[in-house]
Amino acid sequence: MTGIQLVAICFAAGMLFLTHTAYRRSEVRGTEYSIWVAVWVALVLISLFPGQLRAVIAPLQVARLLDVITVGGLFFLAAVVFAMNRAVRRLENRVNSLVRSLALTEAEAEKLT
Amino acid sequence: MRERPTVPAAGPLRLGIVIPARNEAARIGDVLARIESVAGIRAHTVLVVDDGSSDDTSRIAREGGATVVRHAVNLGKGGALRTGCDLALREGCEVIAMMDADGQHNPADLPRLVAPLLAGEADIGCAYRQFGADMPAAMRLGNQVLSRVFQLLYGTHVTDTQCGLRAFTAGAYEKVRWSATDYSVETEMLVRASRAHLRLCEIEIATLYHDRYKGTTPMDGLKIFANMIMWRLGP
Repeated sequence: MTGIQLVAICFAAGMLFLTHTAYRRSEVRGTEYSIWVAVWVALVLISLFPGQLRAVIAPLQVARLLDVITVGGLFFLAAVVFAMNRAVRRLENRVNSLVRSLALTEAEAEKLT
Repeated sequence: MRERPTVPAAGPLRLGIVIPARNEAARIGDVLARIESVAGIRAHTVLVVDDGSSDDTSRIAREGGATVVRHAVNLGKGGALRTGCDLALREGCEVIAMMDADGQHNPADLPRLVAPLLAGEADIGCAYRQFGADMPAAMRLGNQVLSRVFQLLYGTHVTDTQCGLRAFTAGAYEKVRWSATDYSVETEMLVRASRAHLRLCEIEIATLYHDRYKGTTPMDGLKIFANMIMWRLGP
């Protein structure tokens, strides 16, 4: 086992622990928990058996195994950033309408008193 | 003796003046006093939207005679303006004017800005500043570029797309009601006005900058630029 494989496995194990802790604290929901556990387990499996990915190198016309993993990681990161941006925007919209609605209600109440 | 500026009396005008303010305790009192000194602004309502200030902006604005509406957290200029304009509509205002709380805008310009709207000659009144030495260099460049890009993208000439001194009729507000919560609000307003074929009029005002570190930053400028392109490409 190479150093980078060991680092990846340790990282995935640490993230599995954090994911499980977050789930027990009800900070992530069941579906999210399952998705993240699948991601970390996949990382462990890829680190342990990188040779299994060699089958996809030829059809994808990628020179090295590491390139496949790097490009795959970038795709995954892009998807996560998009999902987070969407979630933040939705939250921002909710906060906006809540704050504005509270302000207008308070102003009307103040006018009545 | 210099004559005091007046708003032309045309029927039962209800003019709402919306002032978004954040940590403007030092200047808001003076701005409100200057509004009061403009003769002829009859039946007006001054609405100060305290956008999450941590100082005495709300208290000073109330003491200055304004109706104060307070955001529990800072939403940004666009959010504050929308709250203020919505409240102005609820209060039955027929014309809504917006001005900054930092003293950049002289209330004495309001009568000139509102007059074409009262006369039915325009739906939106926009003020513009001269892009001269009175404006900080970065702001000057940014404002010039944004105004030019706006003209290129939307085919409508607006001398100063970023000036916050504006007025519109209640009917026009329904058509330009924006969703931007930040400094893109002025541009979005113009984009919507352009699409709704609203009639614009412009008046020149003095360029006043009291605080070079407040207001839009170069990052805001880039965001406005990106939004302009996005709105052009969007539906």
